[in-house]
Amino acid sequence: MERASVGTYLAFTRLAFQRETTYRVDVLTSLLGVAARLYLLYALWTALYQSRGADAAPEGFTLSLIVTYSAVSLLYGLVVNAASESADQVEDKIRDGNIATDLFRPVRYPLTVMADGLGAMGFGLLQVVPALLVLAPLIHLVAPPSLEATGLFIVSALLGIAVNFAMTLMLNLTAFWVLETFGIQMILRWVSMALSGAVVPVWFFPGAFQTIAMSLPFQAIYSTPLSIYVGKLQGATALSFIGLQAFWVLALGGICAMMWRRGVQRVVVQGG
Amino acid sequence: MPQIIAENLTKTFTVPKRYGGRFGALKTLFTTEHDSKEAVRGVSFTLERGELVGYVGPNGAGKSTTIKMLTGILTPTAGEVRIGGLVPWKERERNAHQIGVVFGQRTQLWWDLPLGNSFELLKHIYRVDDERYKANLKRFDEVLGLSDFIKTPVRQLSLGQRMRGDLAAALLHDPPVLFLDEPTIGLDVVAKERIREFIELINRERQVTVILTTHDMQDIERLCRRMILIDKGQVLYDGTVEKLKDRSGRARLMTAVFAEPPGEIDLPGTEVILREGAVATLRFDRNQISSQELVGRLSAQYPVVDLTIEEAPLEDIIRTIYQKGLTP
Repeated sequence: MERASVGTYLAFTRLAFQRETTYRVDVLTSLLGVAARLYLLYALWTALYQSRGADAAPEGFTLSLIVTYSAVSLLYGLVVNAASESADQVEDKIRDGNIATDLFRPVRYPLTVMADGLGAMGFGLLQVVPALLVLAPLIHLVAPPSLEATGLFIVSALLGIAVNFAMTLMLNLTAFWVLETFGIQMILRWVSMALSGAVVPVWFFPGAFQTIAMSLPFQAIYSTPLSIYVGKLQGATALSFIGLQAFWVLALGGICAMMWRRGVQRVVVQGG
Repeated sequence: MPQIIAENLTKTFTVPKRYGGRFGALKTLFTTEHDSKEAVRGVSFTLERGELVGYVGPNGAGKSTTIKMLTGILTPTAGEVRIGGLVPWKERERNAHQIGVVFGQRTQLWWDLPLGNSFELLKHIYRVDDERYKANLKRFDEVLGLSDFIKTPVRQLSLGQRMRGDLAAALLHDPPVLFLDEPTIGLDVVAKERIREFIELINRERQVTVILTTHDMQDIERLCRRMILIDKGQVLYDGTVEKLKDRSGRARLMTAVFAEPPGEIDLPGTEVILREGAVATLRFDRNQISSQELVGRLSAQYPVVDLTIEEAPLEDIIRTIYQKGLTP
């Protein structure tokens, strides 16, 4: 019998999409949450900028650009998280032994998790893109500087989602070796929050911090696509940052593949 | 060639050594020493196509560990497994096409979705063609009554319904081999019977080879001609259920109802296995004391009101073996 085909995995994608549609209320509430956070950030940035003078633009970020950055970051974040939710359940499956049911099927489990993530991502996009289009005129969001920038943003955003997925999966796979990863996860979540540029653009960081942020994969999730969106990264520079994202996808993906292979070999299905 | 071959199958788990005492926890954290636990020790058996074998043993005997090695989920420490000529853990994906698995304590169905969606997805996973899929689903529905709840999300199913769904899910791709790990656990009598009927039917109608682990000896008496009994990771008995009963000397159980609580009952050749108020159950061996003799002695010493004698059920025989070992 030959290997499972792409079609097999697409069935997982379709099913994930269907599952998400049954939890529509979740999406609505998270959109409301985004609106609340956006309002807070808007108020904060406005206050900060006003204290620095009317035409303050640190690192080239005008007030409307930084508000755009925040809004896009929050909405994009919803898709980033939706896409990695399936990866975030791997740890539990390993810990409670339910991974057993995924191991006796003729499919690669990590690929099914990925396919599932794609479905959830697709559904997330269906919610977030209209939200962005509605929001744009309301709070005067700036559009990407050019059509080319829009294209690069889309590519970069997809890569960012992939980086976050791989990182989440990697963390979850450590459950093969350590049975409790909550502590590591919390620390990483905070570090990621700070260094990914999700809230404050990394360009605002003082020199040393910026260097640290740039050498870690977190910035590949938020900072790169968002900086392309607001025109901070353009042309060749943007391309080289996208190249760096691709590097992180391959590197983290490779680590996940290795961890999976080793983990399965030593798997001790917990609980009977 | 036999369809399932297990040869000298062994699984040793290593766990970090645990220390007690004052700084035990700290020592445990940094230790590089390991304790090893032998869950399965040199288990061998073969199954021919179409056999339905009960795999029985007390908790922690190594049943599930064996099943997991046969399904390719666990890698054996030593020994060999072949299912239809394949080594499961080396060729997990290919092996998956020829086996169906039900773990009674877990579900392979998608929790958030209607049961039917799980079937659809499994159809894709195992690449079952439309015709076969429809025919199988129809047949399973006839026996398991799936259509009553096929549109219900799995999380809302009763345990019995979920188990029926899991059984159907395991067989959609017509696997020649079926592993059932406690498929009747936690079910009521009616639900159990329904599951048993289905297992019997699948085995008879499709010649599916079945390994069944269970703690319910009625499952075994109802379904299996052959049983493999394991304890502490080793095979204690492999043979027909009838022969095991013979070997146990065809012990009998006598249940007596007395006019008043009888107090201690001490009769040579018998063993009291239950005493509750004015009712007592004695196990006795026909070779040591005849029923007639026992009835005589019992009624001479105690005010007996009623008596029943029956062959000891398999469960009682197994319990005796767990406690005292198997007398050759």
